[in-house]
Amino acid sequence: MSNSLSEFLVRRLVSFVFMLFFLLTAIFVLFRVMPGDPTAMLVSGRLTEESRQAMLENFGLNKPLHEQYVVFIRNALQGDFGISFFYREPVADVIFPALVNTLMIMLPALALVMVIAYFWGSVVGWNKGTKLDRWGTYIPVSLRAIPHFILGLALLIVFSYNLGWLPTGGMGPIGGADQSVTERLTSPTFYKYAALPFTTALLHYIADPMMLMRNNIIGEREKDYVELHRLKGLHPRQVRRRAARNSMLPLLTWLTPMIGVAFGGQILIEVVFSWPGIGRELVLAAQRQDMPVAQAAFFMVAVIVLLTNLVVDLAYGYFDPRISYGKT
Amino acid sequence: MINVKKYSDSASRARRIAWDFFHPVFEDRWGKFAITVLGVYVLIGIVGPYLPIPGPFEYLQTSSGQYAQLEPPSAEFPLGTTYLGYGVLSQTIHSFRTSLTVGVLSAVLVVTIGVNIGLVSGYYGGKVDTVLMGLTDMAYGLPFYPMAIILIAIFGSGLYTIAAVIALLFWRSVARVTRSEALSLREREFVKSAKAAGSSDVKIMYYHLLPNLVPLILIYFVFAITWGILLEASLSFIGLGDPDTVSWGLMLHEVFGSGELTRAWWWVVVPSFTLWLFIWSLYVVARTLEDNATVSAKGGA
Repeated sequence: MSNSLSEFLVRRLVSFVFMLFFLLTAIFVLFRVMPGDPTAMLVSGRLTEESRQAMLENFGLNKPLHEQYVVFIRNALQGDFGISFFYREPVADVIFPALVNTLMIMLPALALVMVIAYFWGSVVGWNKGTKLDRWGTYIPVSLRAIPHFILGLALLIVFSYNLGWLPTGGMGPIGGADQSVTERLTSPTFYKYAALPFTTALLHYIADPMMLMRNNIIGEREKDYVELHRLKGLHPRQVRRRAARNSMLPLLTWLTPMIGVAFGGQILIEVVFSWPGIGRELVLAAQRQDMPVAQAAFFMVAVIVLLTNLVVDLAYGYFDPRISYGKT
Repeated sequence: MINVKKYSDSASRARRIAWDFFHPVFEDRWGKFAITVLGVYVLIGIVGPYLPIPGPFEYLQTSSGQYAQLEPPSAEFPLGTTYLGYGVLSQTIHSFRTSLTVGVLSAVLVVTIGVNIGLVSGYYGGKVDTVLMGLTDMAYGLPFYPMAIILIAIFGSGLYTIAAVIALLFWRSVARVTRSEALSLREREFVKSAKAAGSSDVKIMYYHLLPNLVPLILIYFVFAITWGILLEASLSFIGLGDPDTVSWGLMLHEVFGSGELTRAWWWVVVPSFTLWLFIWSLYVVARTLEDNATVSAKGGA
């Protein structure tokens, strides 16, 4: 068993590294087949030809392609994505704070989605066919059909514009931009700003895992051990809890592709609420043709998605000892 | 997973399989409603641009000769006007065609790519399968919207680019499901006898296997239309859509950008509602088809 486990680990790690290189190469190629001059952004008309050349040299854009590739990979692996064309500062300084801002909404939202989906899904599934089940599934599924940004706009109009309870966007009052992460997380104002983007994400993501959990527990209900627990005289709630625990694995698998999807959804939420996250930065960079920021933002998101896949795969093996690490 | 009756004889049965599979949608109350909605949407998409209404980018004027900016809905301006004086009704109606075009175009591309890759991968197995599924796994590793944004930034925005991007990113799920179906189908008697009778691989795949995949393809076709419409709307909303083609996403982008969210409620509500209803109806149809596929599997067919 341990032998096949280590084999599995090695195989997963190799494929992770392979994907990483594939992604970097894809980014490199994509941004070089881009029509138009990537330096056009740099030449604002006031630059002389000499300073333009100097700029090109700065960004390594004058070297032959294969050398650019080597330089690109080496820098990328060190987290160095060059200088932003727009901000004129290192890309890392733009990207990392943005990434943290995105994760501040996304991680708690997904975590809460998992918890609610686990409990609510098992409750409605256990009571399949009742009124509770009908409404308890109907509402989340209807919410699910509303595109992110429309849901966001609706919340924005109701809670910010009409009721005036919450701010309309951004991450804090003007002047609060230089707060550290801990300062933010301990200030009540921050939560006022985070409330709407967080709620949007929560409402949007809740339906899928909840329905999944519901289906699982409906299947689990029929199993012999559930009947045994019932016959033993356990409280129905205790029986349900045991069945729920046994139907949670697919929920964990669901989380894997969900991280990627959530990054996508987060982009729209960030645009609606002007949340200075990595998704909004990516959109802005795309509009400004700010190549270094766009590729770094994309790369960071992709790496996080890959890492999550890796971790969930490993966790899956940990939670379910029945899984064999043979060929899948 | 999806497991419907297996028809063994020929491709000419594809239509009957499709009907067997499709008719429960018409028996379900919500399904009927959704199908009606979709019918109306298709109708408006076809005739919309020929209706006697102003163009989507035509400035409207009030009776006193002024530009009709942010006029609330009235007899003169049904559904009101936008900040620049365009008719919300006219823009909404012209958007039907945009959405339908993107949706259907991307669905055709998604299904074509996905089914072919899945079929070849599942039928041949072995090294072909390893390579193609490796490719699929990689496609799964890509975060969807970020990738789409990058591709749009590089190749420029337009309806065809958007459809192509959707196809490039969504074939993966279709390929995976098709493959697993093809894997189980190829072990069945009718494939073995076709092989024994000397049918070529291509004939077996497209003549004997493919008709059995029709229900699956239909489900994914509907899902792919939904993805296409959602993606076009989202990209347009964040300002990366085709600026010359009116769409619900573009309308929402403009109302959001103009800062008139509260005042011009008609400008927000109308495109939001049409878009939501479209997606909701497609979901209902796709879900009913999916349910039906699993139910018939349990029914021991």
